[in-house]
Parts: sequence; structure tokens; C-alpha cells
Amino acid sequence: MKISKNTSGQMRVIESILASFIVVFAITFASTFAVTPRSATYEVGDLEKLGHNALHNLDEQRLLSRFVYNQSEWSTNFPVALRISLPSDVYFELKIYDLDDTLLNINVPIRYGNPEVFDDSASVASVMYSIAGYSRFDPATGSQVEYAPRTLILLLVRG
Amino acid sequence: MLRLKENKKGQFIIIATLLISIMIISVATIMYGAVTYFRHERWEEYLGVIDAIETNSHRLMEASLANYTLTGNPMILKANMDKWQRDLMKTYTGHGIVLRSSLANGTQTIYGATLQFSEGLATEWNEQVSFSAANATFDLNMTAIGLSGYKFITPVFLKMNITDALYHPASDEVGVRLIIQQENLVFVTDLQAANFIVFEIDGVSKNVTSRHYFDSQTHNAFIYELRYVHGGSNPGTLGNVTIGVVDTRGIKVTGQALNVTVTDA
Repeated sequence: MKISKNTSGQMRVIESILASFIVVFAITFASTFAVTPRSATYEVGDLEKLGHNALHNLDEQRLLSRFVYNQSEWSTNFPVALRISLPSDVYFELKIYDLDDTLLNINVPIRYGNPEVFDDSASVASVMYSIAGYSRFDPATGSQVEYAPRTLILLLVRG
Repeated sequence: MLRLKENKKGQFIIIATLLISIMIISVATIMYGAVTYFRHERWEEYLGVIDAIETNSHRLMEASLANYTLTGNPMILKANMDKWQRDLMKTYTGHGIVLRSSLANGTQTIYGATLQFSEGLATEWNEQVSFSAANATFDLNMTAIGLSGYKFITPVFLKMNITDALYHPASDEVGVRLIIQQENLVFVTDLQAANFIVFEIDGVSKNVTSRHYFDSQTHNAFIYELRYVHGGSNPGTLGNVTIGVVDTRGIKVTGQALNVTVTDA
């Protein structure tokens, strides 16, 4: 009988439950504004960083100009080098333009993954990279020096 | 029931919790926005553009020096830089990119060598220690992000030092030794015999084989040894040694050394 009349303790329980609801509601409300790492907002940014780093690393190693200015590399070593530089679940397509915006590799796609992947995905990242020209000495062909700017557009999608 | 309604002390806990929740939401939102602010900005893209311009300006300096050392065109660097600055504006339309270059002129010291530059280019050939070099200072503006006055210097350098010669009695070969260095005096280590396009002793061309190794005893440097069959005993000295080398970037240097001492290997 004494227990049933002790109503102040019951009020504490009710208050605690209400307080819990308020905290849970607050966290839920705040989380709706959060942009999680897997969201499309971050995905494109991360892919752009990956793509730029891949191209820049190839350029630093003097491989990029060798690939771009040598058409026989477009279907062989160039896509292989990009596949090695990028994570295995990232699909890519590279387009090479000259200064007149003419697509040079229109007949030789430099691609990994189906073309439909780029149409279907909501998060397609695009990286632009510009190179000036090349100079190299090949014992077989001698010295080759040329100023011929190319603009590379690298499209990236996570599979 | 009456007592339950009148017990108003507990309401303070609800009010306090409500206030704390508002504070949590406010602080968390501000903190989250502050921490992830950079991810919503396009810094990476702009840094990527700057990286690409810097790297390819250096490549263009290399190509221009290669062209100059092969053809002797003294205005090639200026012509290439003018085109590059114009083409960059076209390529990165909307970024507001303006690249200006200041080509080295007059006497300048680069990696310990004092050279006479003209329109960014310099050669000092036919010496025991010979050089080819290019030097320019760039100034990059990018109005899209308010970047102004970003400076970078891109020297290009190739040095050849004909050091000495060795006589190998077993194979009756004389090996002329030389050290080749590029920017920051880094040893060039990827040359083959075909890169040495000229090798003459007293004006007579010789067929050579190339060996390379790190010599930690006498020179403490990466050495190329160009060997040719001598036909006889140790000659003691070599009258006039002329060597021309083209590195993998296509940059050429021609060196000449008189009275090179030949010691037994």
C-alpha cells in the first residue's frame, strides 16, 4: 500500500522516458543534415581526387606524355596503367582532345567498364588535365621534341 | 493523482534536457560544417590545375632546352612559353588563368655553375665540365579562386664531367669515365651506349660500350665508363676526348677534355 502511494518515483521514470525521446529525436533530426561519406556529394569529390592523382602520378613518371602522344599505347599500356593507378571498383573513360576540341581517340576508346555505367550512374566524376608536349630520346628513332598541347578528360564512376 | 500533478520539480529535468538537446544540435551542426567545409569547396580541383600547370611548364622547359641543344634555335623557349600562356587561357576557360614567365637573362648561378643565359637558355660546351640549362620564373594568377602571384621556378639542367680514364689490360680496352647530373645534382642513371652520340679521341670516332656503376672509392658518384678497344699498352694520356650525350629527355651536352690521364684498372 505504501509502494502504490509513492508517486514521485513514477514521475522520474516518466520524465526519463520523455527525456530519452527528446534526445533520440534531436539526434535523428541532426542526422538528416549529415552528409555521410558514401553519399553522392562526397563520392564525386573523392573520385575527382583519385583521378587527378592517377594522371598526375603518371605525368610525374613521364609516362603520361608517352601514352598520350603514342597512339599504339591507347588500347594497350594506357588503360592498363590507369587500371593499376585506380582502385579496382572504379570504372573510367579517358578522352583526349587537341586545342581545337577535336576528340582524338574517337575510334580507340580508352575505357574500363561498360559505357552504360557512365549513363546509369548518378555520381560521375570528371577530371580535366592539360599537358603541353613532349621531348624524349629514343635510341631507335633519335630525339623527338614537339609542342602539342592536349586536354585529357577522365570520367570516373564507382562500380 | 493530485500529488502527481502538483509535483512540478521534475519538469526542470525535461526543460534541461531540451536545452541540452538544442545545444547538442547547434554545436554538432556548426562543428560538422566546420570540419567538412573543405570537402564542399573545390580546392582539390584548383590544386590539381595548379599542379598540372606547374608540371607541364617544367616539361615545356625541358622540351625547349632539348630543341635548343639539338637545333640551336635561341628563341624557342620564348616562343613556346608565349604559346603555352595563350593556350592555357583557352584550355581552362572560366578559371581566369593568367601565367606569366620571366626568362633568365645574363649571368646566373645554377646548381653551382655560373652560366650566361639568353632568353632563358644557356650552354657551356666543349669543356671538361660542360652544361646545358634553362631557367625561368613563373607567376600564376587564377581569378576564379582569388589566387594571385603564385610563383614557381623551374630550372632544367644537365651537366657532364669527364673525370679520368682507365686501361683494362685483360681486354685491352680504355674506358673514359664521366659523371652526368641533372637538376638538384641528381645522378642520371638511365643512359645506354646509344645515348652517347659522339665519342672521339683526337678527332677519330670510336665504337664504345657503356658500363655504369657507383664508384665509392675515388669519385663517390655514379659513373659511366665508355670503353673502346685500344690496341696496345696503356697509352698514359689521351690527347683530346670529345663526348656528346643526349639524355632521355632529349637534352644534349657536348664535353671535351684534353690530356686525360689513363691509369691501370
